[in-house]
Amino acid sequence: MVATERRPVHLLGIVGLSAAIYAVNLAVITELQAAGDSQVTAAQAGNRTALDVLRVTNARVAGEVQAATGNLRTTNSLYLDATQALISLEARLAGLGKSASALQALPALPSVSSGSLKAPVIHATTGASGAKP
Amino acid sequence: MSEASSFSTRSMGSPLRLQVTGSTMAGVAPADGLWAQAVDEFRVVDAELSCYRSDSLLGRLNGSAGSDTWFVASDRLYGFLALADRARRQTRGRFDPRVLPALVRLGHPGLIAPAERPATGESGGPGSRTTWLFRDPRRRRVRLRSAVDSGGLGKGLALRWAGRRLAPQLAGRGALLEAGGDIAAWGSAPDGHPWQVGVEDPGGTDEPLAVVSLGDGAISTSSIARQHWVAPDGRPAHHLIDPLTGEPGGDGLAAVTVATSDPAWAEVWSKALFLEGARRIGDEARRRGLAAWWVEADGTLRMTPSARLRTIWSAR
Repeated sequence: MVATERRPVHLLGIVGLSAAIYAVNLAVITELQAAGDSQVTAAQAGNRTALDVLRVTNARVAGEVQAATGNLRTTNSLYLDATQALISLEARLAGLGKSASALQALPALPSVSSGSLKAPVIHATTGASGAKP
Repeated sequence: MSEASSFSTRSMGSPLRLQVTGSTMAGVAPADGLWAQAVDEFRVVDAELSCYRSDSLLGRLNGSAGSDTWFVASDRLYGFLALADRARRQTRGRFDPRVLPALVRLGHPGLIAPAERPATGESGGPGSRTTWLFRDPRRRRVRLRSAVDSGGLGKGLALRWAGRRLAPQLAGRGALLEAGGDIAAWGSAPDGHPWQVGVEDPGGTDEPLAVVSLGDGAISTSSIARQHWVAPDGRPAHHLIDPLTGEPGGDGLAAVTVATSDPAWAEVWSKALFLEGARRIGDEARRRGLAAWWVEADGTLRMTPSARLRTIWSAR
């Protein structure tokens, strides 16, 4: 008597079912990963734009700081020049002061005729306005 | 020597006089036409800036002072207020248009008393650093915290504005426009030399204390020779009020004359220097580089170096 070989159909069914469940899970996981990757990529793109703006702003501020430094140096230089000029002027004024104090008489201002001479012709008079209340 | 035309009338409570040299040529505005324009300018300024008329624009604006009402100003009224504010700052408060209530309190005749309103915080009175003028330049609107007096600036501005109308039409002729002691001049006198202006003796003599040479420019005098009276409390008073005290100022001085390029600023500086008093006027005038003459209470005439350069004669 030949024994009939029994096929483990239920095992094949279980294996098939497991494979199907695994495939579904794999598909779901792949989809979730893809969605996560897209979100990360989008977030990174926003950050990159902000970083670009920051970089440009930073470059502009650096340029302005550099220009201000240049202006400060120029001003400082002008200030030093002016200080030197003032020191020189003060020295000259001191010299003039000594010369003036050595004069026997003060120089006369332009002459103004006055005193007994009659007033010259006038075209108008500046004075108080209005009538006496 | 060229011909001269002379015209006179009264305007803004003072004599108004115009002298124009040179004969009228074809294509040149006749002297009587220039005179008509000068009179018209003074008439308009009086109608808009007078403190003696309740129906003037300034009178109506003063009537609304202290309220929240915006007032649409004419170009002249707006110009007056803007210059008054600038003059107050330039003179560090010596010139201040907010002296009107003080003048009324002291019994100055003829002035329109400002409306009294309940005080709301800082009054913005004379000498106060609070903003007294609110301006809306775009709509030409103004609002005042307190009433103002145009007496310290009105004639100077009228001379300035009349000059702006007349000067382009002179075509090489000389002219001298005189309004109650404030004078603006252009070109030369009939003899071809600069105009010669006498500085009045506040003591009342007919002879001037000095004679000043005036080319293109202006000269103005602030004096207490005429506008003085007895206040209601029996004290002597005059119209030059010190904004810092609210009382008549200029101790030891009888008159101050200032020559500058602009009649409005000549008027501002003559008042501001007067209020410095006899002790400080010399230093302040020299520090500002002004051509100023002043007469002390005892009749002594003094002047700054730049005034001396313009003086061609002095009595003593």
